[in-house]
Amino acid sequence: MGKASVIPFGPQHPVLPEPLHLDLVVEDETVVDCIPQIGFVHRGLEKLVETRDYNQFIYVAERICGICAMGHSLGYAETVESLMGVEVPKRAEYLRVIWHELSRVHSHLLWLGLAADAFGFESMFMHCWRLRERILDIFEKTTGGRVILSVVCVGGVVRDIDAQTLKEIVAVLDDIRGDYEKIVKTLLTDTSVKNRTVGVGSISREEAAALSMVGPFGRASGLPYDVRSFGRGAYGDLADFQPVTDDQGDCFARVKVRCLEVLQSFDIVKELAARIPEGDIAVKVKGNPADGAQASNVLEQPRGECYYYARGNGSKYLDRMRMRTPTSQNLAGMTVALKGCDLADVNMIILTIDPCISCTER
Amino acid sequence: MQFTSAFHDMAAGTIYADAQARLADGWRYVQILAVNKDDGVDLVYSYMKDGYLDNMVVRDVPRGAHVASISDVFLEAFVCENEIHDLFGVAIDGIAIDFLGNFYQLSTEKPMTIISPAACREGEAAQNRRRQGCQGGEEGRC
Amino acid sequence: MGYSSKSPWVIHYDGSSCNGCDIEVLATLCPGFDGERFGVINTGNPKHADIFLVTGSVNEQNIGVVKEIYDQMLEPKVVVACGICACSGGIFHDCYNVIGGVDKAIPVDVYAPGCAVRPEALIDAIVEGVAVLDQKAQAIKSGEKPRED
Repeated sequence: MGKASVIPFGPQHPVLPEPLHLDLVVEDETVVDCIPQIGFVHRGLEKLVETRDYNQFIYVAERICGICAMGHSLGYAETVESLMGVEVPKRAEYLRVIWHELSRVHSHLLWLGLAADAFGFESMFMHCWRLRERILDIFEKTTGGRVILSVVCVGGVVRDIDAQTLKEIVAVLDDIRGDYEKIVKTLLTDTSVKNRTVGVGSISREEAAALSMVGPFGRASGLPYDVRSFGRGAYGDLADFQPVTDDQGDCFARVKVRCLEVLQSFDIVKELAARIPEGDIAVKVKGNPADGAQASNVLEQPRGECYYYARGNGSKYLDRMRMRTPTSQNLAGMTVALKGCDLADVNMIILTIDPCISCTER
Repeated sequence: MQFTSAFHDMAAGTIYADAQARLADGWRYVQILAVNKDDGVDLVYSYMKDGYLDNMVVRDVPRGAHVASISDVFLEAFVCENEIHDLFGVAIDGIAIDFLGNFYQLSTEKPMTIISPAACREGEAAQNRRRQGCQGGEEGRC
Repeated sequence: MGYSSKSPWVIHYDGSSCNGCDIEVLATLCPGFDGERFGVINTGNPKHADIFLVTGSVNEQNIGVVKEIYDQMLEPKVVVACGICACSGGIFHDCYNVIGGVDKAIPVDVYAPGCAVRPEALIDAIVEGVAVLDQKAQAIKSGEKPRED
């Protein structure tokens, strides 16, 4: 029977890209309890709706999180469009989804690199980020920005992608596919990776359902929930969409689900690029949201389901804008996954949740 | 499966019973949010089942009123409930993991209840429009 | 070139940023832009680091952490504020919980603006920081006291 002691983890830690503090109660080397402390990134930006009108606020919404930037601007725009009854042209929907799926690829590659670094596989980190640079080059070519794209507006998108550029995008994805599949094969068949991840931080399907887990974290435990299955926007025009799931619920399953989702996103971009319709890329939005009108929306971000809520008050400033991000939903799952693990596995488990603390705290 | 969403009103006293009923019926918890109003706070509880997103709006919870926590039914609600307590000053009783006001260490207390001068102007303008009976919306200001 | 400027080690901390600048800091050290060819290594230990890369507009809870890391670093040390949020608060300068830039918590030597800051700008900033590091090392060698502010 060991003696209990408390080890503080974070907010500054080499493996954490963001500040998160955990008090790990350990007995010998086993974690018996984990108390998270967040709040290091809380900027209070939801209050900025008072001073930025509904068109300007999209720039604030993008900067909630640099990794999920495209997703937040898309979710915000869709919510305000739902609030004001605006219908976006088909071509704009396709372009938005193409950028959003590329954003999912960049986010998962980023995460794969960090996860590999977390268990010491630094050369894999470098390879993943090298491939990710190709995706960022696509972003820069089509939008002008590498990280913060600023390409979505309420009513559509701001820039078009012409047919030649779409062909080039598909060519880049085909080109990196070979390298990417080698990386995935290494990750999923290597014995040392398996030793570090199989059976670590397991969450069963029943626990996952009880904790309402979302995103790849939940899908790795067998919950088949993915907002893209609702078939809204350009997702409805896909020939077939099935969420990627696994039923083991451990760190290995979460790595596998994300690896396969990247390949799924490649296919989605190719399919949409092949059949994107001609047309306008935006409609002019006139007027203001009605007083007392409310709208809610969900979007599948790389980390899971993100909920958006908007309320109008008749002026050009929204009364309230709220985002509930997937990591805040998954925090309870994280504390459950950490109980009973070895101290050395804490990094791995935290990273497989793919926490995005700046999203959670806004 | 199609996605639809709806807003319904709910009384403050039925928050806990509603959460229990939904858990038993297979609903997923989605989130809780608060909206600051002139003389109170609106709370919105969201649940989802089979693509139907149900938002239950509890209107005009007075400041300082006590509301029951649903985190013993849905543990993951503790994040939203702590945040609402810190930012809006709503007292929520019985949160499973209660940070007792230290979830976020803030420079101002209950910051979302402080109405800035810009919002004051907009709020007054909105009230005037309500009194005059016009709604804003598609045709613009009246 | 001075001693520490031949291979400046950096420590990176996210001071309430959106992560955009943080991933650009990491991208600078990855094969795309390869900061490591200048001898830059990302360390987690403040006592091993010469240059402190801070991102983010710094909120109330984070002031103590940023100061703590800065105090633990050994002289000569240089602080680079990465991204417009770290320089002046950026788009969040009027948020209630934000103090408005890293220089309100610790002294900053180089400002690298951008949203998100570009890796080329970061390499530029590190090179500028290295020049400041040389000056500080020189000052210590000739017996002057380091800046007290």
